[in-house]
Amino acid sequence: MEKRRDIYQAIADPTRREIITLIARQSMNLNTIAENFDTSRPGISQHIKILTECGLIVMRKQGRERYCELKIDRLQEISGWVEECRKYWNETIDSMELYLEDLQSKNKKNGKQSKK
Amino acid sequence: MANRAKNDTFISRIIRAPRELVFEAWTQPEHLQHWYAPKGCVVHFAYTDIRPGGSTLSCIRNPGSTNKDCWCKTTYLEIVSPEKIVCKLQLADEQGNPISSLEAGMDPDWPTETILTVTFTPEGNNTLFTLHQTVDMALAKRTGAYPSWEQMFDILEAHLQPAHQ
Repeated sequence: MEKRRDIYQAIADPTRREIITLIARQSMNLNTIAENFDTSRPGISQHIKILTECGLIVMRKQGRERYCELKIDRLQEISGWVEECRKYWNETIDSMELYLEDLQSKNKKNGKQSKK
Repeated sequence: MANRAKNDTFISRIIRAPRELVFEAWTQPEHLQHWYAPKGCVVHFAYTDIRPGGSTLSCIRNPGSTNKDCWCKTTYLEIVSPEKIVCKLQLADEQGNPISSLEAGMDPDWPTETILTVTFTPEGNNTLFTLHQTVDMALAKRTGAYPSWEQMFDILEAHLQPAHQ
């Protein structure tokens, strides 16, 4: 069975979501992250590993410490298509406006009253 | 507006036509076939049954593009004349069977199912039109995590905003 590694899997687990919000404010090393959870350290390491494989976390060395840095822009992928939807509907509503204006001016020419 | 998901599509416009006419434009096939597609595209309806519980199957074609025809099944959940329509939109094949976004030739992250709500409010001889498309169902299916992931976005949003906002 192929392992699924994408942004949706990254945020599908509640502990992983908490890790994400925790390091959104500042990069942290693994010990500091683990201190915030009841989960065992190996458990947290496993979550960090998955988040790294999903491309949400990059490990950076600073001196002897290894820091987990959040790649926040990756999360934007989730909502990227919303913009496309907005564009689609705006263009569709434009099309409706044109049609309705056309329809109303035709009705006026033909002496029809629009329904009140 | 605090309770609206940031990842929903929300549009609000003044339409220069009376409310009844705008509502008719959304609910009568003879109107819909003339406009229900973005600029440069044409719409074709395989069938239309516009009433609560009924459904329509439409196809958006872009004559100037190599994109596949995009079939969409619309199931009407609520129709309140002349003020509101709630419907479920699903990516479909030309028989109206639901299909995945990959099968539809789209990005796999594209939601296969969304809920669309449109409202019509009179403003003199014009109409205040609103459109709201949810992604709740799409994301819940992908993550099993709705709505808690939205709270996460609330916290993250501050970090994604440019500093001057």
